[in-house]
Amino acid sequence: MAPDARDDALLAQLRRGVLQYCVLALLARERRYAFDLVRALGAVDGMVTTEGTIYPLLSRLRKAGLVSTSWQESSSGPPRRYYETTTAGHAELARFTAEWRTFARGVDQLIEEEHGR
Amino acid sequence: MTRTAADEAVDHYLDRLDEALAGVPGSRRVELAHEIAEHIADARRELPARDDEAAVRELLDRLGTPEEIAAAELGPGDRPAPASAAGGGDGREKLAIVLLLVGGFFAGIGWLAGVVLLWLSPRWRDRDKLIGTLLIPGGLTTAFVVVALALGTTADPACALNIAEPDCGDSSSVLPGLLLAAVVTLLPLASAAHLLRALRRAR
Repeated sequence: MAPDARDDALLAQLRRGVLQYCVLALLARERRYAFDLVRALGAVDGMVTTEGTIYPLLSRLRKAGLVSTSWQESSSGPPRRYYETTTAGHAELARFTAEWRTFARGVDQLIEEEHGR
Repeated sequence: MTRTAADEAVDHYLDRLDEALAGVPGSRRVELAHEIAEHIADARRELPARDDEAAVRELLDRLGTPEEIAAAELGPGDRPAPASAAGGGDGREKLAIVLLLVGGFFAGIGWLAGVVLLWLSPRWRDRDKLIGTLLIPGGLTTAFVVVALALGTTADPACALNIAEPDCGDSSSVLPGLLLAAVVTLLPLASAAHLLRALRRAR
């Protein structure tokens, strides 16, 4: 595989596991409507390749009870659906955050040892 | 208002999306198609020129192909739900419930096996497991025995033949026995129902 393709595949794998938690984190801080959320995610390099797939993800999170939605009047058109993280979502996020930090620390350690940095 | 090239591109995309979402259940299909259409509208509003065909095509690229979106909707995805542990079927749990109910008929061993499966299962709380074990030990087998005894006091052949004055009792002493038999039969059934309900709740 060409180096670019290999990077893409690796990134895709990392991203896939983590994206839902990034969504939960963003929605934990404040309620957002979908397009706004996609924009916020897009601001992070490499986080979203196919913006459209965020919508199925939001639907799954909703079904799993990790986010809830509410409709809100919008000044610029029809009412918008706003998303926010539920209590269960917060719990999931906290669980992930702890694991993620431990994991990332471990990986960093191994890499440093390998390269003696 | 004439449709611009940008509008055409969007229309074409949404048509393809409709086709790609064919396998999605009705209401969700409508909802998702609407969400994507709204997304496109929002994105175009942010463009310097909403009819800039190149910009719109780029926007559609960032959205992903209709096939990718459909795959994300239909596919297994990464289940965001808190781990439903080993997931899969509740075969073992259902077997436990059956054994608790009728396993006792096999010299009690079946019931014991049911108890073991019950307590080993991660799907029930301790409270549920206690209910399953104590209401009632032996399950329907015990109920069967109690019912047989209760009926036995009324159908003792010796009573019918009036031999050697057996303790037959009169009909009024039969009722408590039958009541006990009824309760003792219902309890294991109720306990099994409770365990089944708890299984569904925990999912």
